[in-house]
Amino acid sequence: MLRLVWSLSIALALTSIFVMLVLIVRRVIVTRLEKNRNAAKARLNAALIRFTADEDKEKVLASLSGIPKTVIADAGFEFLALLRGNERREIEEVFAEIGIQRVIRKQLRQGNRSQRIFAAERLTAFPAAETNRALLAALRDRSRQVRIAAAIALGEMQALPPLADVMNMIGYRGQRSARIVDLFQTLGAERSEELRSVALDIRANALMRSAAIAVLGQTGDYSHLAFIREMTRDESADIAAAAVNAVGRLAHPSSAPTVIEALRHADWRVRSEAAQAVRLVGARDAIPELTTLLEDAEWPVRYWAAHALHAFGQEGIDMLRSIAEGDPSRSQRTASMVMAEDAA
Amino acid sequence: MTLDADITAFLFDVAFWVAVIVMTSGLLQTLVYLAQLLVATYALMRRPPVARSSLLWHRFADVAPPIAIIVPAYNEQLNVTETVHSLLSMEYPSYEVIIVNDGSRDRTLEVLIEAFQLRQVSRSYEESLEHQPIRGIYGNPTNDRLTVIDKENGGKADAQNAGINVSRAPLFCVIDGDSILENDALLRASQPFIEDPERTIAVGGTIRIANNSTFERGSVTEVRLPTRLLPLFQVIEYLRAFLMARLAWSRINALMLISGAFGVFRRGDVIAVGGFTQGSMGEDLDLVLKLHRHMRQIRKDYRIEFIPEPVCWTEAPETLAVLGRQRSRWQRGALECFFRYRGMFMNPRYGRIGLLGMVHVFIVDVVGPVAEVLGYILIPLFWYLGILNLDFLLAYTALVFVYGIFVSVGSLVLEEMELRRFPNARDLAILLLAAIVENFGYRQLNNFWRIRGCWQFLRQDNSWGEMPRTGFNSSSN
Repeated sequence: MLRLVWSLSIALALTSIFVMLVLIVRRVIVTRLEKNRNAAKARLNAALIRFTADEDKEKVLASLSGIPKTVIADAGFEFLALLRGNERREIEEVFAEIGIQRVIRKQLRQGNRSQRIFAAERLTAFPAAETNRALLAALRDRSRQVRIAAAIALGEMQALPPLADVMNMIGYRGQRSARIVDLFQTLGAERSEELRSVALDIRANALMRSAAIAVLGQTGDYSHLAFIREMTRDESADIAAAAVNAVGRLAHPSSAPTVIEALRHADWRVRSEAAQAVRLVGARDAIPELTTLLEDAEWPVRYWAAHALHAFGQEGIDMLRSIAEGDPSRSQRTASMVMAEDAA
Repeated sequence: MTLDADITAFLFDVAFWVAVIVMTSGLLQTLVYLAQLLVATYALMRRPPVARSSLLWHRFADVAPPIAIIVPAYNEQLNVTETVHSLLSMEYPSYEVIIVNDGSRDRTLEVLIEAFQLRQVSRSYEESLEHQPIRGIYGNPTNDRLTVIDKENGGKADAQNAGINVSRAPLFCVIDGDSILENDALLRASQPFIEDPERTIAVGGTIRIANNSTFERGSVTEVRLPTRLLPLFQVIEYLRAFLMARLAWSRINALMLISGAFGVFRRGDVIAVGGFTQGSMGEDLDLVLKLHRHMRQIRKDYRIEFIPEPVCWTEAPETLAVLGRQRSRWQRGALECFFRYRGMFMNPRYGRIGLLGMVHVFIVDVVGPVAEVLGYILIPLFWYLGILNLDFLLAYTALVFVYGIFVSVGSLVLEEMELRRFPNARDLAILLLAAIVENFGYRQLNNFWRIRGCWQFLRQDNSWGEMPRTGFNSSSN
């Protein structure tokens, strides 16, 4: 037993010393590699800055030939993020000419998760059939985040397959990322029917369905109004709240009855969204309902109801003032605080 | 003669059982640390390499939820301006900073008013959590990102509750008044809330020791190791606590503690559990336990996560007296929370929280310090009395110390793989030496402070203790 304890102690001590030495040696090597990489990155940035000034393609290609392609594929895109328009396009063309897209496609297939996501994002700079094929293949990646990143990239390149197929590939089950909003936003107006299908799809969770409704609300297209109004009656409070929010965003006066109805919803999140939407759709008929909501059990509802009253001009302000000057109550306190805040 | 023999036999029995208890406790702690190290290594291997913050901004800017940063400040006149500058320069699309002046006796409020040209404003807020009365709310008319609440003194939890009430964002982040967040910390901490918004209810990040590092207008400009021994040892301790323990517990969704120095929480869930517990010595541990209990009771799927990349820098105590008070307070906090939520201990209703998390708190925080100090005192005593064998004593002692070093080296490996914040190989060598030296003296002292904390807990001593600040180093100095 004693021998075992001593052996264990010696083994742990030797392992610790060995690990310490390896760590230090590794750090020295990593520092040296980083130094080289930073030097290459500095050369790359200098070459690209010169190119934006003189537009001498031969010269920049010569400069880039001495820089590792992996450095260009990484640091080059940091530089590109600072540019827009022609300057950006010209540098992307230079990158394409030296075959950076092949390096990135390889990273999309073989890199770690972080590299694969980044690769999907960068490939949008190289619109081509090979790029689309690589991104379509990435829709079957083992990581959900990579699949979404690939779908967003395809969407940005207007090359996204039918949304129902994409959703099947990304996976309905376990899909929880808020980045789904980014994906839906890449769909043009002509594909908004597909968003409606997702909003109605019972396989999708509330987050996805709400995201689809939110993006429909952002389109500014009144043809979706009737559909979104219908969704305000969904049995899921999350979806109903998203729909009320979208109705507010579309800000059409004909939505006033829908919003007033939502002010009476059993779930406070829907009432809160409705209290914010009521001002946007100009539902002045909501003043009595809003006055009632000043007594709501939930603070956000009271707060937004008071703000909506204040936003309705003199009539609402007079109402708030009379409540603020009344007997102490929840309504009185809400009205006086919001009056003071809005007056500031 | 018979009586003497009886007494000797009795002493041998006592010695045997004390040795068994001490060794069992030591063995259990050893297994816990080993398991933590293995799970943390697995978790790090499974984690993708860290993306640049510019990439995260590009990815998440449109979907990042608004966050209110709540900073309780009590007598923080030295550091508070630096802290606010740091917070106002965060890389995050939508956030506000709420400083809660908790009835400071120094010039904290005046310093803030002067530095940020504040004036009293009206702001309506929800009164869902109880706290001491608010005397005034201050803001800058040209910058609506900063709000200062001036309230009567009520303690850290009370101040945080006031901040939660006044905040309006769906998420809030609490940090200490003497801490500085790295610019991209919020962006990184918000990632789980973006990638899994329905289940994520809280996220903790890494706390690092700022002593001797240089800061300029709220950003770290040069990371250096502390030159004094006490903060240096704390660097190792923090690495063990964050990169090993929290990462491991987070991996199995049984994270029991998000440091009060830096954590992001979903506001609605914190309000549902009544906010921070007033007068608690371990309000951060208390809140996480409450959240676990609440979510388990309502049977809702949830995640409380630790992610190592968002880093918050804090000033560590540099004197034995101040460090001792801090450690005793932490121990009181751990005991207080364990006994307050004892109903969860080994209770299958609370799943892995009851069966693993609470058992871990029991082994490491309740029994651990007592058993270790008993071991330090009784085992040499028994050897002196001839009850224990010298060979055994030496072997056991060697194993305890070498194992401590092994665990510390393990956490340094994790640091090197994941964060690599210390700039050169020399720093690494110094840390490795410190990992050895801390086992001889510092570790024992720490246990003494923890025992003192146990004693204070039994006496129901609730004094918080002063924490004098020296302020962050500025590169312009």
